[in-house]
Amino acid sequence: MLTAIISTVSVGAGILGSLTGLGGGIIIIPLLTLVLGIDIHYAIGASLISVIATSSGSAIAHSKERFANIRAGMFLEIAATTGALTGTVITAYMAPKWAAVIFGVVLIHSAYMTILKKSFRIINSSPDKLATRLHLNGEYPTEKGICKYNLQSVPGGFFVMFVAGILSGLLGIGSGALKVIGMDQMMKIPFKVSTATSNFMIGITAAVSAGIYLKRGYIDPGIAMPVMLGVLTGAIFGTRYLRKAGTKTLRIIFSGTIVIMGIQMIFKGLTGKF
Amino acid sequence: MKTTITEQTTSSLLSIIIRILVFTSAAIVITGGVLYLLKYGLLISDYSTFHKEESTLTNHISVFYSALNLNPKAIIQLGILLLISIPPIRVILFQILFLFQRDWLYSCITFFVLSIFIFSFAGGMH
Repeated sequence: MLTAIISTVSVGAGILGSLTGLGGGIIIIPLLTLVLGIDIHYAIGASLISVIATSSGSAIAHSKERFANIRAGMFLEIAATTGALTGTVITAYMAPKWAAVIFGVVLIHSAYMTILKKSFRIINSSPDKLATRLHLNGEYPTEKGICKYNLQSVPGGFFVMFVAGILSGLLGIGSGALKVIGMDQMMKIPFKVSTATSNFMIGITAAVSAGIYLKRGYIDPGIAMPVMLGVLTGAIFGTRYLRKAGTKTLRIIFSGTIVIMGIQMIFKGLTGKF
Repeated sequence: MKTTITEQTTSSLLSIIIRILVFTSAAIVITGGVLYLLKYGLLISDYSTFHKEESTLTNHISVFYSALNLNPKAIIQLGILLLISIPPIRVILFQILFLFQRDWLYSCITFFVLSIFIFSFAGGMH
């Protein structure tokens, strides 16, 4: 019975995750801890599995690869993976509840910013020197043909990824939300590319933490099994719709989701549930 | 920008490899899952407090052997291990791709990420 509930929600998490660039961890953790009364440690382990499943499931659909900017993702992952390692170490010393509260505030603020964004965007902004030197600029397919874009604020984006990585290692999430926001808002990367690249990145970041948490005993097969299978199913089917989905719809789904997540995080952080 | 037709093709190739890995790990987990439900089906597990997972399930080598003994939890855990190894394998595949393309900058960048993985596996002994 428990298995059935977990798998059903996981499918939803997988679909949502593959469309928005999130890992689904933010849905999984509250579900497991608040609704099902499972200990936070197991929830963190399950969440990491969910993130990796979302990332890998999304990778299966060929079209997804063409959106993701692999070079940018890999470069930014240097920051994120380093952050993740740092995060797993911090866990031993710091109460996660404050990270949750801060994270919740950041999420809500970002949802607001994402929706506020004008739908018209300057796609061909003048190339940033550092971005060009690092070969980070890219292109992606649209109905009208190949659309090129340039990146901005490379150091800023790098720093955001580092923070995202720390949160990932600390809370067991993929930090996909923060990564998408960093790429979309700060680095001016087109939204669909940001979500696709985030899907690529979160798997890597989560895998760094997952190895360590597995050894610490946080990953329980009974919970991880329905989570993994459910999320994989959701992510594989969700990915097929990325090209067809309108960017505006995606932004709304994304923002709606993270507002809810943000409120939850603040609430739970303050009431000490972390 | 180095997007060429060749890169698209190799992208498809990587995609196929990942596909195989994902489905294999899912198959293992499903197998373990079915056995697990058959064995423990109606028992209600208590996950409300954290007990450190049995050591047979946290060490790579013992998971493998327990799985061979048809321990359902171990079989699931084996599938999970395979899943967790997919992102690093992806990174390795890209490393090979970048070397093949003689993209030295990104070969180095990717290698940096790989070394973080090695560091985490080696150092995660606590």
